[in-house]
Amino acid sequence: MYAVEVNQLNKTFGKTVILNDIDLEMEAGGFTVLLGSSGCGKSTLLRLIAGLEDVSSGQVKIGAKDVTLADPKDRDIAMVFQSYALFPHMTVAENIGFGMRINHRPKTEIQSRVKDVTEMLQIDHLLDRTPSQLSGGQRQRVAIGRALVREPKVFLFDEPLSNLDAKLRAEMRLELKKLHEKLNATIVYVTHDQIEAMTLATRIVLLDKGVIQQIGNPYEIYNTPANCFVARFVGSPQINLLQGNLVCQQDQWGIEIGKTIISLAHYEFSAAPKEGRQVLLGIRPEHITQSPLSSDMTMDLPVNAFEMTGSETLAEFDLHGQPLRAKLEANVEIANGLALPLHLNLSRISVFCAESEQRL
Amino acid sequence: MYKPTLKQQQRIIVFAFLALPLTLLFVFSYYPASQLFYLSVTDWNGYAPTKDFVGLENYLYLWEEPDQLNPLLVTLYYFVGAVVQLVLSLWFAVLINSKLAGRNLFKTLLFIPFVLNAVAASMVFQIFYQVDGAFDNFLQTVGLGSLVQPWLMDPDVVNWALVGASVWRYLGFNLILFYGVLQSIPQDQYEAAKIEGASEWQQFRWITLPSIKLVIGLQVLLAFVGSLSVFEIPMIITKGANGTKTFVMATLETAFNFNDFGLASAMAVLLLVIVILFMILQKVLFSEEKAS
Repeated sequence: MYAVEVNQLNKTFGKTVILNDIDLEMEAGGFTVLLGSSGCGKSTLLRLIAGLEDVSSGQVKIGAKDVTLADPKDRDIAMVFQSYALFPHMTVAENIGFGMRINHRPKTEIQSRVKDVTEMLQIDHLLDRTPSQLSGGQRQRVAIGRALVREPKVFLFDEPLSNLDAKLRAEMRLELKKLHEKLNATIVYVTHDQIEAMTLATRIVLLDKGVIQQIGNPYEIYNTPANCFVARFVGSPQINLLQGNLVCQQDQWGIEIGKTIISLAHYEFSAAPKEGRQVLLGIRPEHITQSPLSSDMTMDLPVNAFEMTGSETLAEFDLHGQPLRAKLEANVEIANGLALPLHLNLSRISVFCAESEQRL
Repeated sequence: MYKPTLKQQQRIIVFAFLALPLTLLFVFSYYPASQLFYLSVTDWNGYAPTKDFVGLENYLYLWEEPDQLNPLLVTLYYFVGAVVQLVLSLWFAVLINSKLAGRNLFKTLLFIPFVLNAVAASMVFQIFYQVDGAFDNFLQTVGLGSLVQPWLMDPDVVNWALVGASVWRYLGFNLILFYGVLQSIPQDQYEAAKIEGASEWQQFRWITLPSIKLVIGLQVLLAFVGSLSVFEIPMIITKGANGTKTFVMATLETAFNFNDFGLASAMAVLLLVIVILFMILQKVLFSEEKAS
């Protein structure tokens, strides 16, 4: 098992900055997910680690070895591409054994390794088929097989599930998680799908415009977002960000939103709060419910709009002119304009500076 | 008022769209081809109002007088040239398809000869190859003066000189076809191969070559047919002198100079048969099933 480390990594295309001073250590044996929207630089970072792009400046280390200028083949990595990048004229067995074949490994060794890997991935009955004769999920497995057969130090995955339908994606997600547990290998995985990131990662690196926004485990990313971008990016439906001012009454801090004061008694500020400061209160929709259990505050608010999804009801309320989204139970009696009693769980709220959008 | 059914309307539309191209095809391709077969079994001289049926006499003449078929051997020069041309164009296409600086400029420069007027290009080469012409001067400048010779007069080299002109002119066409198909190969296949440790040659051998197999087959066919039908370059540069007469030139000469349309038609039919045989061979060697 090898850690992957990037130090002060920069990548520019002409005058466009793709990655800006990235410092990051991806733990050995960990499942690090590079998460971000399209164009944030996550795939470029993965390609720099793979050696498929040249760095503009900075250093890439795999294990203790500096591989910044090394060829992809000398980095001891394997990569699974978004499009799978299977060779269309080769059979499954030939695709998986390609690397060993061009490296002049004995035929018997190739056959035996291919057999082991395809049995593990349950595609051993497809060995003689070409990629055009396979389904999306099977192609995905072949691509993973081609990576596995090399027994690399690090696996790189570039949005490997994005071409699959929702059901298959969920299945493959689970398979990847099992595979990681089985191999105990270092995996660096790129995705724009927050569900994938939250379910698979041991560590998430959230990127935006070539800059790391936050590094943490899924729990930290979800519950203590470092800024408004992270808070908005992770979680569906999106977090509520309510504008208000910090107030201090009888040594108790709170946020004044219109005439309502929301207590920050449970909140741990990372910097000393300042009275009157304009802030954004982040509270996730699932922390606003009709259940009095773990309730820190109750208020009656009129319904603006609602959606029933079957398993739950997503409702939007009006809080002094600001929308407040809540995730309610499926069978709630609801109508537009109707005021409903809401319970707020304030134990996992976030407070951001309205100006810098950084966590306070 | 009569209103056609949907099926009838579809038939009318199909017929309307097909009528014009089919008419043109029959009038300008199939009818002349059938006339060619018919003329090849007559002794028509090109202007007499009557033509007598002579059976396979013209074909037997070709069989018995193999000298008549000598120009076919000239085709071999052009075929060898075409193979060199294919290899060169594939090489250039692979280079241009890489991240080579100025690749668009190279692509344009290599393609320009193909769009030049054939007569103009041939005349340029006529001047280029003349005694003490640009080619001789070039050879002397680079220290290869010993190679200087009468390029268009020496029967041993004249065909190679003409092949050189042909390669220069048609390389761009092959290049564009190869470049087009190379562009369609997904880049990530090469990246996957690079990670697996494939060298540039191995990438070419295992990814590029199988992906362009069908186009190579097509290009070989075009090269062969092109070699058989070479006309402009030897016609303009040497007018067929010094053993540069091609089969098409010989056919035209038989028809229009010797007024033997029957024999010329038999020669044209023979050419057609050779092309069809080669097409069958190409289909067998480069079939889609084999490529996939």
